Amino acid sequence: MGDLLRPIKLFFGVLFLLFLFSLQTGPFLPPNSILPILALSLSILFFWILFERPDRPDGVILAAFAGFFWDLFSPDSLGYRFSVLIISAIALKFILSRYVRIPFSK
Amino acid sequence: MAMNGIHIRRPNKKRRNAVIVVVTLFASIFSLVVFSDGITNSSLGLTRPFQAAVWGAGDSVFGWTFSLIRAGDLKREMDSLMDDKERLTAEVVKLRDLRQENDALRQALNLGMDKDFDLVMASISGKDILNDTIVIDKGANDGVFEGMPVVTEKRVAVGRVSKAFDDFSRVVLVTHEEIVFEAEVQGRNFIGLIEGSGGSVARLTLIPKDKEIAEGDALLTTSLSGSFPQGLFIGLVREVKNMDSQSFQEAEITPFFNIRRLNRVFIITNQK
Repeated sequence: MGDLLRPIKLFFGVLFLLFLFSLQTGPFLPPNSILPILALSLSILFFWILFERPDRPDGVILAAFAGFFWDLFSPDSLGYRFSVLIISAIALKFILSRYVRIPFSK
Repeated sequence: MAMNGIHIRRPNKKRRNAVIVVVTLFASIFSLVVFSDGITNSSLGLTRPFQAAVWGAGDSVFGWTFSLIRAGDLKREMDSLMDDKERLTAEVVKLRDLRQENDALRQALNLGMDKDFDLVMASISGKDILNDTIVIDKGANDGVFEGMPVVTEKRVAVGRVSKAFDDFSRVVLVTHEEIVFEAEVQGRNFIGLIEGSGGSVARLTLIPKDKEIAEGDALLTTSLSGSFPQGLFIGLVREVKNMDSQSFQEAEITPFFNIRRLNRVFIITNQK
């Protein structure tokens, strides 16, 4: 059951990030709304990585999607934000697994 | 493992995994950068229905929330709207006559945009208000290419195509920081330089000190405006800055278009 839940959780995580970035490019929010949306997206990624098992790559996959959506809806070409987020996620995972012990994430 | 004094190191599993991760990462970044246009075009096509659904849902939610918040005012507004309706019905009848007259005048004066330019109509698929860019649903397959001017139906300069994908294009608005072109102040007989400042604001710079300019003056493109054809509306002067320490005057400009209300634009593919 847990194995089945994992891809579903990941799928909804990706969908939620797409929703957030779509909202940011949409006409409803005030012009400076990118900052709270980014803060929310990055917090989700951070807590996802913090609470997941260190040997699972879901947080990094989610970070890759977040970087990709951020790139897609920004005026620059693809690759920059994708690289930054994925490298940060891998670094965070490495630090957490190597130097931080969180009992509830095991 | 020791073999006649020779040590053979077996590859560590962790190290092998790390190498795979690094290689995959670099391959992904490399493909994203190299095939950026193709991937962006396909991804915008894929995410468009989702965006449309989110925006549609957003419209209903915002509409419903506002109607709930303003429930107390609804009755008063309804009465006022009924009065307006009667007045407007009378005006519509009057305007129908005026419209026919206007159409005839337009034809006579040859002011229709389709007479002056080859136009491609596009809907806006995305707005990045913070970065002064929009994404439109027409691209290279529709004859839209980089550098083409983008206008509204009212001859208002919106921006320039900065990147044309196959089915989509990215447009930088006249308020974008990378936009610079010459413009004339209507009725003042001098030319200044429009520079985008970002945040939906542009500036008119290099205004000679001896020239008069006032709030509310309208700005038009000139034949020196580069990719923009002559005679497009740009915006109104909002604030004039005339500092003694600077050799030129400067004015802040509000564009004629409202990015939040903009839904449809025209790309000028060829100036006749």
